This record gives sequence, structure tokens and C-alpha cells, in this order.
Amino acid sequence: MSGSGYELGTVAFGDTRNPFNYDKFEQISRDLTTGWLTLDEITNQLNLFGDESQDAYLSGLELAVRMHIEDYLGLSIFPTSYRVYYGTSSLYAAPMCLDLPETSYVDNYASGGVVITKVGFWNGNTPSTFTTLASSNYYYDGTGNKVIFPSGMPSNVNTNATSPIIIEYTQNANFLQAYPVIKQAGLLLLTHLYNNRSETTLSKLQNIPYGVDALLRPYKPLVM
Amino acid sequence: MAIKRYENVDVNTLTFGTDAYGQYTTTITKKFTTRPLVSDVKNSLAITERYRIYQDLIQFTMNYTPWMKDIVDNQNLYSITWRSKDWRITDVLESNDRMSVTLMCYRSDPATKV
Repeated sequence: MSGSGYELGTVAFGDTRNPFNYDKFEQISRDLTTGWLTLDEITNQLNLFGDESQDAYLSGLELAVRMHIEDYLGLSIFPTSYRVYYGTSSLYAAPMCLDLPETSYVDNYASGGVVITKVGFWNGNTPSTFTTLASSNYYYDGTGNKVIFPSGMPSNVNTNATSPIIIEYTQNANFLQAYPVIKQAGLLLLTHLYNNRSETTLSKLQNIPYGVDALLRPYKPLVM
Repeated sequence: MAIKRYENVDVNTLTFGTDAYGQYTTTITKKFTTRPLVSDVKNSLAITERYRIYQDLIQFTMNYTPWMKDIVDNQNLYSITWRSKDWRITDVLESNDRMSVTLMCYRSDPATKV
């Protein structure tokens, strides 16, 4: 592809940066046991104080609240791992850049809060087998949230498979999870779920001003 | 309109026994601290010929938990310490959705001489 001008079907100056060029991604690991809001914080919020008889129930509720806030903000309160799939159709440039879908804040210039755990591809052999690439073949670009392959596409990538190139990464805990405003949003949501254990009510519930959405909104990244 | 507010209270268990002289004894042991909605405080004073008798009634509304369920089922085995006074449970009102329990508690001062 030439970088000299506009061509049908290409993006200007997009030779190596075809935004969001992954086909799909999936969660492959998530922390479902570690507590985020402490039981002391929860029982104080619910006016239970020393009543410990519901701690197991409250811990389960806390987990649901934490997962919701992670999903809502796209941040990891505890490490979460993903697998991303890429096709070959638009990736023949060198260097080749593969975007990651994570939208978490960059809290570390070196790693961007992301650790690349595996990069590989399904090869062109019959039957096709998965080939893991050595880490010397690529590096993570924290400023652009992508993985760069300086030498371009590895050889012998399966061209018949839909998404033969795969990256696995772990999104580390985000420092935002310690912010009091994020924790307060968690406590508000937990109180709501504690007090409303049925999906239906006879009367319409009213949101309070400065509720969960208002507290979290400034921290929600813009996803394009 | 009655004033309602959250206040810290201690919930105690009561153990009954008999001492060496054959007198009945009640041992009060703290079980946990909690923070109910305190409401409808009624203080009453009856003055008889020889004594003043204070009889106070109060309502504590608490979240329904397994420990509260035990209190509902065994009201005689629990007391509540609120503002350093010992309150005994006279009535329990469970909400229909079992999300809260209201304890009506009673306290009689030892007779105070007029």
C-alpha cells in the first residue's frame, strides 16, 4: 500500500495503523474470589456493624458489584485476561500493528497496565497447528495500546483460517480501584442490591441525585 | 412526626442461672454491635405513694439477618444495650418482605424512691 495519497478502501496515513483491527476478543480469566470492598466497609454502609451473620452473602454481593463496575468502566479492579483474534486480510504491512481492545487507563509508562502473555498464530500446515512466537518478535506499545511486529507478518500464517493470529494479555489492576469515589459508587450499588432482592417492585423506584452513574461517569473512558 | 435516627446499640445474649443462695441470676454477654433505626421513644413515669417508676418503650428497626432471625425466634434470650441502659424485647414486628425487623423494647428502672 502506498502512503502517497488516498486510495479506494484505504485510510489516509493508515498503513500501519488500521484502528481496531481485531476480529473478536474474549475473556479467558478473571478473579472471582478476591474481595474489593472490605466487609467492614460493607457492614458500616448497611448499618450492620458487628452483625457478621450475613458475611458470606455480602461477599457474593460485593463480587457482583465489583464485576459490574469493572464492566461498566472497562477497568480491571483485579487482573483480567483476554484473548484477541486477528485476521490476515489487512495486516500485510511491515511493521505490523495489532490493536488491543482494552480501554483501561495507562497507569504505567512501561507496561501501560497490560502484560502480553502469549502471541502466536495458526500455521499453514495441514493440519494447522498453533505456533507461539518468541517475545523477541514483538513488543507492546503502551502509547497506542497495540502490539507491534517490526518484521511484519510471521511467515507461514494460515491464510484459510478466519482469525489465525492470536494475542493473549492480562490487564492489571487499575489504580482507580482505590479511589474513594469509585468505592463509594460500589457501596451505593451494593446497598441498592441488598435492599432490592427482587427484579420487580410494586412502585417505581427513584434514582437519587449523585448516584452510581454520576460518580462513575468522569472515569468512564470514551470508547470509539 | 416522630424523630428517627440511626444509633449504635449492643445486642446481648442472656443466660439464666441460679446462684449458691438459690437466687435467679441473669448473665448479660455482648454478642455484636449494630446500628438500628431508633424511633418512637416513649418515656413514662408513674408516681405511686412510695416510688417513682420509669417505664420506657422504644423501637429498634434492623436489617433482617440470620442473627436477627434467631432474636425473633428467641426474644427472651436477648437484650439490647442502648445509651448504657439495658432494654428487653417485648414485641417483634417482621416486615412482610422480611427485609427488616422492628423490635419493641421495654425498660423498667429499678424503683426509685420518691
